Amino acid sequence: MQAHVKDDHSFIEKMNDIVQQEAETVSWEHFQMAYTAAKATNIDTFTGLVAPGYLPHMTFHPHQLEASRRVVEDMNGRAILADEVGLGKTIEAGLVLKELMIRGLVKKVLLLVPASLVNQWVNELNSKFHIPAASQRKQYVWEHYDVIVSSIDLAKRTPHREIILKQEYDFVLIDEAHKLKNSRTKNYSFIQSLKKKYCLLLTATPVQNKLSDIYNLVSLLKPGYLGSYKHFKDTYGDDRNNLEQHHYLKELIRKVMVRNRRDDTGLQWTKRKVETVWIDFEDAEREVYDTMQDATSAAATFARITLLRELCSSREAAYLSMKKMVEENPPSSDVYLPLMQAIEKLPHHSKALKVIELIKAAPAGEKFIIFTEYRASQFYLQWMLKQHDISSVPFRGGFKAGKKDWMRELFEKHAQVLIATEAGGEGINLQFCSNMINYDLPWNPMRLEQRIGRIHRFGQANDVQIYNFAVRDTLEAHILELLYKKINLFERVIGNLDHILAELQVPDMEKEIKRIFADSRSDGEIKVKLDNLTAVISETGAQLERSKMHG
Amino acid sequence: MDRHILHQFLRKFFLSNGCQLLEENDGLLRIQLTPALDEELMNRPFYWRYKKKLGQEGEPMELSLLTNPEQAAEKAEHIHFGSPRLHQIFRLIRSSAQVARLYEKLDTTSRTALYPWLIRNMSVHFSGKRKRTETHSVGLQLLNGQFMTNAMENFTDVDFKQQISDHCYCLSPIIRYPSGYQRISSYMQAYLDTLDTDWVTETTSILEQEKSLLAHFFDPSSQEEQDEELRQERAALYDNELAALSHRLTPSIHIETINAGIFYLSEETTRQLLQKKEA
Repeated sequence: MQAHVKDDHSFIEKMNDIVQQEAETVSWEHFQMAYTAAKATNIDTFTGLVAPGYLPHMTFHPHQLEASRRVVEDMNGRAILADEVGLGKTIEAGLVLKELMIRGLVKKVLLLVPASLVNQWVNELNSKFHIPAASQRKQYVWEHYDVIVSSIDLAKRTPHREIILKQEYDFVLIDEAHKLKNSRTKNYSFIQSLKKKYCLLLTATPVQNKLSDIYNLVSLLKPGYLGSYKHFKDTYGDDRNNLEQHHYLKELIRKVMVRNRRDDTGLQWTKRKVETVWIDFEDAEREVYDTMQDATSAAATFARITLLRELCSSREAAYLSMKKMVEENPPSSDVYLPLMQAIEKLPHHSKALKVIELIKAAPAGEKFIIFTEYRASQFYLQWMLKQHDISSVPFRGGFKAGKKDWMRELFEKHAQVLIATEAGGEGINLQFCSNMINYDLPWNPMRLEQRIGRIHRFGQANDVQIYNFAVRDTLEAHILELLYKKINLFERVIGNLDHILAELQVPDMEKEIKRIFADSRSDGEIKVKLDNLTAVISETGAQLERSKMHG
Repeated sequence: MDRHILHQFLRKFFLSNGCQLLEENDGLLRIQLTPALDEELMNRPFYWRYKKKLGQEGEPMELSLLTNPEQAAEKAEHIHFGSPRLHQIFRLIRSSAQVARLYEKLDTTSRTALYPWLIRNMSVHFSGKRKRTETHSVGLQLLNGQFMTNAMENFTDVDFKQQISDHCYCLSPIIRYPSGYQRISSYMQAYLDTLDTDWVTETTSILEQEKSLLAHFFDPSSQEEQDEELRQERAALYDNELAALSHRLTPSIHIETINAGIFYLSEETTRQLLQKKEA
């Protein structure tokens, strides 16, 4: 059997014209160099990855090289990359893309990633892989750039949608692909209708709830590979635990999915060192806290809990909230005005002073990230640090992408401290910093995990030092002692917390905890309820561990 | 391409394009660009457009390249195989040196005949389940139809000029250029016929397998009752996937000409080259 041969017929016409003319042509030297350039870029083997040779500034880990090789050689460039969080799925995907581009198989590329990660993808492709990627901002970009990074929400909207569906993509990548597990959604059918030669789906959780999740993902890559949906359901059911029993299905999936687990990689992870920093309120602060706890008992309990949390963070945070409440509901001033007056008289917050003490005690120039839940506290800390000649930059989720990058850059090159609010926790990698201060704790473990993940990830060379600040005898102390210490969140390396929470079907952890505080009449009751919650989390984790798909 | 070869390659590139070498040591090249190369390489079209509009001469920039990864210098960029700068230069070279007509440089006092050779350099892309590319350089003597493989490699030590040397004259080709070009195509086809075709068989069988999976998945009879719109949607998806499959898995060979030229060569040199080749 022979393949169809396509010859280059047009060249001879051009050549004939030029050679017939009297004028001088190119020099021997240039002619030779053009041949040398072509020969140097032609790759004469079907197998093996050549891309790493093109990227001498990068160090790839063996599991990353192997994953990319499997995708290119064995899976034909259509695969699910399902490494556990933090093993470098982005790197593997970049390597696959680079390889396909170098071999001349891919030119037109569409990468659909969460909005908060668009710039990061663009930066990494450019700086790490020398792939000239552009982010989608203006309409015309779709047709004028070969490699585009966009959020799926933007891409599926008119007029972008119509333009994109007309393009013939050589390569389509979907980051956080588990969001496509439902085949009845608009996003799913949008991805399904894209014209794509090669396709990568990235997710750390290929089977989130039901076995059909994986069926739907695979059907995007290779429709028919797992049979028709009815047949699949009849054979395997929908309980994801069935996957363990069906070795044949597991085998099938292995052929389209790469899943590295942390334990398999043999990598030494740097350690997490966790230290709780207890703070005692000054008498004046304690007095306001206690008054607030009693005086506001008449007010809505949710509001009370919020205010108490805020007071543990900064005077400013609590003050601003109360001011707002009074504006919105003037009668409440009876309760809040005296408290506001008391707060105005408070000295500097004990916690903020502790921050200064801690940073001053560290070796000169040692970088710190401070996370706080409140913008008011962020402003206050910025001011405090400045008073003590410590350079800092702020970071908020609301910053435009360009500003985020700029702040990150400032922090890396010039500032000693980055002060981030909660929303800033996602989508920024700060592994050049190894100290983190949890100035106040979020009430959602997932968000805490994301915070830690900013610095404890691939590329972090040092052990990571985490300082958890908590004021003694406050709500904060409960959260730290009863929630976080119990589930051992700080010490264990980024686990499968996201699965656990999905499994528990607790959509809003923070609300859940607030409710526990609000509904309980005593500390004892709070303790019992939090104990129950942590026990369930731990058990679910253990169960998941047992039934985990081990690709 | 190791870094020493790369260094020499770049040096040659800039010098042969009329640039001045301001500084050179192990691993560093500091070059004063010409206006033409500045326009091609430095990505500042507006500067040049304004300068031209104003009728002024532009000031071309300096470019410092480090071929040694260990070195560092202010305002110098590292260049290596795979770096965008090198590939930009590669593209530039390739697009600017497509067709040549060159004469062997001879220092002679007697009348010497030069024989025409058509040299065609090619990338041959084999695309199947995976892809690879071979590089070929084939020469054809345009009087007697003799072939020469690895022509560029054989010619490495011959000096060619854009003008004919004194006392030399060119023999007219008997084989016309287009038909010579076509003869090289046939020669390549004969070569391709000798190659192992396992990759074609393998790719074709994968293609067939995937096609039948796809047909099964989209089989309308296995679907539950659907309205017309849904059916059409599915049919469109099916066509879409089928097209992607064929695009990805149809085995093919593509002969792409890198560049080509007419080379006039003395009988003596030809004889030496062919002898050396046989030895």
